[in-house]
Amino acid sequence: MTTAPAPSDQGGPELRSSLQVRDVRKHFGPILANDGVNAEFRLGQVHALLGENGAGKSTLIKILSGIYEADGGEILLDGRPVQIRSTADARASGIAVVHQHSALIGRLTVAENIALAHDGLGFPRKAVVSRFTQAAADLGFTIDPRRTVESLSVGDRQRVEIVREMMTAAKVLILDEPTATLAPSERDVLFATLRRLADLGSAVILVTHRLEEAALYCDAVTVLRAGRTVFEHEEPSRLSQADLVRAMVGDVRLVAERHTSPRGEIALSAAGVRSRGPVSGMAIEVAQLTVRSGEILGIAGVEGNGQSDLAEMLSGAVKPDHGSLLLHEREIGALPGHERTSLIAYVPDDESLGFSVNLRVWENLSAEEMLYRRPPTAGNKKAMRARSAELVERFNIRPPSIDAVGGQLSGGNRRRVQIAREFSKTPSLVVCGYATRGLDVQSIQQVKNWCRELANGGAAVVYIASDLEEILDLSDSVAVLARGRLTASRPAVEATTEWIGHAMLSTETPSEQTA
Amino acid sequence: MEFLFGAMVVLGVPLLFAALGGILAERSGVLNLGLEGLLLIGAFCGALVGSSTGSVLTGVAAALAAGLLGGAVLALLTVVLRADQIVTGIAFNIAMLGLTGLLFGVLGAGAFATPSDADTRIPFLADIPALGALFSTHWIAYVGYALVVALTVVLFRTGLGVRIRASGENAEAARASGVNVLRTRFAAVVLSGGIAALGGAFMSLADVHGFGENMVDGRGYIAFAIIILGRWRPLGVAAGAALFGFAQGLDLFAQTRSFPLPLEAVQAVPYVIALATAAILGKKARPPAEEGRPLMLAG
Repeated sequence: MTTAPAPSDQGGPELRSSLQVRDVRKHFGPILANDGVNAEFRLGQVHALLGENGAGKSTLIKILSGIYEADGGEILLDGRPVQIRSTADARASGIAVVHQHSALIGRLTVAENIALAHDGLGFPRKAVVSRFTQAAADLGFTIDPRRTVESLSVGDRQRVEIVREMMTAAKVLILDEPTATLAPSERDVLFATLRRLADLGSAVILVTHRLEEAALYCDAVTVLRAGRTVFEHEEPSRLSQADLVRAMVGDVRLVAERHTSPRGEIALSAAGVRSRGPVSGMAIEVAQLTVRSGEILGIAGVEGNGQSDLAEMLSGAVKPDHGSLLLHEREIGALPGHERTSLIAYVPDDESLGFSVNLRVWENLSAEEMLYRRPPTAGNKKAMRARSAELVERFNIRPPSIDAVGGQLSGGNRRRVQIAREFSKTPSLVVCGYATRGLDVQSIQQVKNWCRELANGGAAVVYIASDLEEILDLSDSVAVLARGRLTASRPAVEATTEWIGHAMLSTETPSEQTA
Repeated sequence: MEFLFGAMVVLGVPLLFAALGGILAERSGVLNLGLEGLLLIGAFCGALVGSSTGSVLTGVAAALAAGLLGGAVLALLTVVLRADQIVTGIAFNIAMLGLTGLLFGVLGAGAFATPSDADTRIPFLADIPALGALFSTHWIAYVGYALVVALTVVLFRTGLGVRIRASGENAEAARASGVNVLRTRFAAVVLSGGIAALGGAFMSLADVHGFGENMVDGRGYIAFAIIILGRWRPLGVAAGAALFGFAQGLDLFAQTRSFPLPLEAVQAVPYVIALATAAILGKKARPPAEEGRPLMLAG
C-alpha cells in the first residue's frame, strides 16, 4: 500500500501545458477495453470525454489514475512521457480522480477526511481547516470543514472532494460521471466550480454520457467508441446533439418505429386505489386505469411524485390499502409468488431491489426461478447456467461471464442483468420504473425496442420514466403522475406537451379535468 | 452507600478495561468478541507472575504482555486471515477458558496467591462523600481512568484516531485516501487485547488476590452492552461501566445485608440492564459501519 504525499499548497508538480494520451491500449483476456485511445487534455480547459457504457472510458481513467497499467501506448505530461504504475505515481504526477460514488467517509468531518492522507500521529487540525477554507474560497464557495460529511448535500460532498484533490496539488482532475447523482440546480453550481478550476489553471476532464453537458459546458470533446478515439472537437458548442450521438453510437436508427400494436383485452385494471405509498409514504391515488394487452402506457411526471410507490403496487410487491388492482381479473397483491413472478416482469427504479451484489450473475438471473419454481439441484443449476449464458449474450451483459459476482459489475450492467431476467419472461404485465437509468443512448433504445417486443407478444406494459421524449416515443397511451395521483390515460397522439405539463403542475384532481 | 460505591469501583473497573479495549477494536472495524478470553488470560498471567515474583507491577506487565499476544493472535486470525470475527472470538474465549482452567488445575491455587499492596488514596478527591470511593482504590484502576482520557484524545484528536475511525467507517474510502487499513486494524486489535487484559489483572491482583477457574464469569460479554450504552465513546463507556458496576454491587450488598428483594432478583439486575440496553438503544445505536466486515482486497 502506498500513502499519498502530504498536501501542500505550494510546490508540487510544476506547471505544464497538457496531458496527452497516445495510442493507449489495454486488454482483459480477449476483450480490448482500450484499443488505441488518443486525447490531449489542456490546462485551463474543461474537456468532455464521451462514450457509451463499455466504450473504454472507465478503463482509460483507471490507467490514468494508476489502478491499471496500460499494455501499450504513451502518456505524456507536457510532452514528456511518464510512467504511471500506481495510484501514488498518478498523484505524484498531479492526476486525481473524483469518482462517481463519494470516496469520503460520512461520519468523519470534512477536515478529518482531508487529514486522512497524512501519515503522522498528529492531526494538524487548524492548518487543515484554514487551508481547506482558503482553497474552497478560491473555487468560489464556503463549506465549514468542521461539519461531518454526512450532513452535507451531495453537491457539497462533491465539491469537498474536488477541493481535497486540489489541496494535494493535482493539476489534472478527472470527474467520473459527476452529474449522475446531482439535482439540476446543483449541476449548474458544479459546472461553475469546474470552470473556476480551469481558470485557475487545471485541466478538468469530465467523463459523461450526457451530450448536452459536453455541448454546453466544455471547451473540447473526445468521443470513445469500442475502445478507440473516434471523434475529437475543439468547439463542442458548435456541434449539434445529433453530431455527438452519431459519433458515439455510429449510424443506428435512433427513433423507434411506431407500431400500432394489436389491442387485446383488458389486462391491467385499477379502480379506486388509494394507499399510503410503501416507499415514500405519500398518499397514492389511482382512480381509474386500464391497460390492454399489447398496449404500452407511459407514465410521465417529475421524479419523486410517487413513482416508486406506484411501481411497487403494480408489480404486486405491495398490496394497496384500498381499491382493486387486477391483472386479468385477479387481485395482483394476492397472487402467490410463483405466479406473480412469472406473470409480471418488474424492473424497479432502485436497482438494489432486484439485484444482489453478493450473488453471481447466473444466480441473479435465476433468482426467482430458484425461489419459486425450481430448487437448485445439480441438474436445475446446470440448466439455469446454460440459460444464463444465453441471456448474457442476448442482453449484452459485460463482462460476458455468468460467474462474475454482482458487485463486480458496473451500474449499467447490473441494470442489464435485471432487465435480462425480467424481459426474458413471457409476462402478462411489464412494469418498468426508470428502466433506462444509467444506460447509454444505444442501450436505452434497446430497452425501448424490447418493451415493444413484449407488448407485441401480448403483454401490457407500464413504462415509468422522467424523459418526456422517451415516453412519447415509446408509448401508445400516456398518463401523468403528480403528487401521488395518476391521471386518466389518453392516447399518445393526443398527449400534447401542454396537457402533460399542465397535469404535472396541477394541484386539482387531474382525473377530473381529463375524463 | 460507601459500600455500594466501593463495590461499584471494584466491579466496574474490569468492565471498563474490557469495554475500552472493545471500542478500540470496533472503531477500527473489527468486532473483538474475544474480550472474555482476554480478561481471563490477563487475570491468569497477572496472578501467576505477580505471585511468583512477589510484585504487583510485574504481574500487571505480564498481563499486558499476555493481552497483547492474545490480541495479536485474534488480529492475525480476523484481520489478516479474515476468519469470521464472531466464530473466532467465541472460539478464543472457549480456548482460553480451557487453557487457564487446565493450567490452574496443574499448578494449584498456591501458585496464584498474589501479593497485595495497599490502595492509593488521592488527596482531597478521596474525601468526597460516596464518590470518594473512586479515588481510594488500587492504582490499576487509575490506569483505567487515564485510559479513558487517553483513548478519547487518540480517537478524536490525533491523525491516528482519524485513521482508526476511517478504517471502521469505510475501509475502501480510507484505503483510497492512503490509509493502510490492514495495519491500522491489526494495531487496534493488538492494543485492544492489551487493554482488556489489564481488566483481568485488576481482578486477580487488586480485587480477589488470586485466580479461580472462570473467574471472569461473563464480564467480557457484558462489556458489549456497555459499548452500545456508551455509544462507542470512552467517556460513555466509563459511565456504562459505572452503571453495571453499581448494579452488580447491589448483589453484594443484598448478600451481606437483609434486603427486601429475593437475592436472585438482585443478581439478575445487571443482565436485565444489559438486555434492556440492547433492546432500547440497540435500534438507535449506530456502530462503526464496517464493524465485523473483513477487508476484501479489490478485484
